[in-house]
Amino acid sequence: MKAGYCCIGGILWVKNGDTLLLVDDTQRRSWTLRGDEAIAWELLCTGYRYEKLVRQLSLILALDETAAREHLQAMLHTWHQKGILQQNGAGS
Amino acid sequence: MLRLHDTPQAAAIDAAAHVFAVPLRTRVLIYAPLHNSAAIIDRAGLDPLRQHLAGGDISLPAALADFATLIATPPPAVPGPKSGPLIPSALGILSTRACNLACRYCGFLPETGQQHMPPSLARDAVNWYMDTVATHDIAHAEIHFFGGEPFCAEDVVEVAVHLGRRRATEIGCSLRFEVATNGTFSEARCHWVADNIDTVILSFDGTPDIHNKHRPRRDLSGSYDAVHRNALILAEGNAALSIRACITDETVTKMPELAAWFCETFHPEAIGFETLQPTQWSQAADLHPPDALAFARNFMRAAEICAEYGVQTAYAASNISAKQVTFCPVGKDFVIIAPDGTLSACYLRRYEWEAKNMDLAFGRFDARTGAHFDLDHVAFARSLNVHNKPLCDGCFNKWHCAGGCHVNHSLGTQPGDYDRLCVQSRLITLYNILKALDQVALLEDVFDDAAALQRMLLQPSDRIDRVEVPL
Repeated sequence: MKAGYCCIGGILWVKNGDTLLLVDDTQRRSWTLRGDEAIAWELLCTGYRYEKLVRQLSLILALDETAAREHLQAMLHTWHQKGILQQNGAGS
Repeated sequence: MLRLHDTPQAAAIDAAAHVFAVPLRTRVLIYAPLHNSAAIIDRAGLDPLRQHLAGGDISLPAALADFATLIATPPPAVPGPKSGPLIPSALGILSTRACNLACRYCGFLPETGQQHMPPSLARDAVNWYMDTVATHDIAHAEIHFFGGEPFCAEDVVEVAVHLGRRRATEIGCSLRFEVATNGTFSEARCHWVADNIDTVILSFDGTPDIHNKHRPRRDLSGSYDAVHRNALILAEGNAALSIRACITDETVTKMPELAAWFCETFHPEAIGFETLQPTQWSQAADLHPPDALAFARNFMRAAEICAEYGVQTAYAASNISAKQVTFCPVGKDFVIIAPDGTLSACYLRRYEWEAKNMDLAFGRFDARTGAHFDLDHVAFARSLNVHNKPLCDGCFNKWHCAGGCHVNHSLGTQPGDYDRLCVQSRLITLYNILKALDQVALLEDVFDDAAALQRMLLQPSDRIDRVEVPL
């Protein structure tokens, strides 16, 4: 199963402690991710398949897999709305 | 112990046990590691100092008097073995016993049974450890990863790191992660490591000709390119990079140039040089440990170069800032969990302990009920300490080396029965002490005098009340 999203082009990120700072240099925008969002972003960036991502999140966040999947979907949706992600195949 | 010091005579005898004298041709190093003190004296000054320590009414030169008074007092603290309930000093996670390399000197045989740790076991172990940290109000927690190659089970490392950090934030303690790795992971994983691990001990033996010969992949292709790329990434990242180079008889003379190259190219925080531990595999590959004197001398040269770059040079058995009864995790209540849930004091493989008639497993982890320790086995691990190593009793390096690896360093039982590892450890520790005193030239002089070197290295006891220094 595909996650259905991919990162928009031009996004860079840097980690500072438990916080991730995302920067879209082309659009001059930035976002800060903390807590569960920061963990999920780092897992996404390691290139796991979706189901593996869900399993890892469920172990780290002490959620059952259904709850972890819902939590992940909610985060992906939020990032899509903020313009961090775009739908797969939408171009960059 | 306190009663031992009831009389001045008893106190003096006890103090002398912690003061060592090492002859350096016409001079003598007086070393009191537990007082953090050392001095260089002329040989003629040794006997008066000994008499002073033995409680004699001796007048000493003013320059020596304060030092003599200090070392005549019992040391502020004598390191002792752990006792009481086992409260883990750190958690070690053997994420996998598998490895993607086929290092020519490596004795890590494939082991039957569970190779990779289930990520759920890592989760449970981290939760147990962090619960313990919270219960005992421990301010600083440590999680170390060992292998095989830990990143052959990268999901295990990832779960432990993210979960550990969440738990540390909840508890309000600091948490440090350390990993010993061959550094052949992907570029993306390397960036993750640079961001998430505090200290990376990277096995890196040198330039491509050396590294690829020592550390090929399983298909016998070289691993150098990946390690070089990743070392550069780590050099730029947040993790402290510590390079660990295995030195053989072929590479020992190259240590100074390797040190310069490592420093210039990778800007590590530290470089650890260790000599090859002979195995049947290393012998089959015609790889051999270096001569102890050649290793020590080239270590000194490498250390001088590293110092110019502000890089620390490490040899594990010669760290003079460490005062310890055991050299490694064994005996320090460091709890190491294996992929099958076994809890042990040592990260080596079971067959290596068993070959030396040891069982360093001391418990099991159960997913439902947590960690269970066998107290007799905990006591055995704690008993492996320098207090129980007769060879080390009179060695000036005893509180730093503590006898070295309990499994792989077979110790003689007679005082002065030092082997290759003892000789190189004694020399490098001596170098570190003399460097701190700005007196390294004294050691260089001894290297040029074979008889003096022999006398210094092989005296049966360095204890000041037992040492025989010809006047």
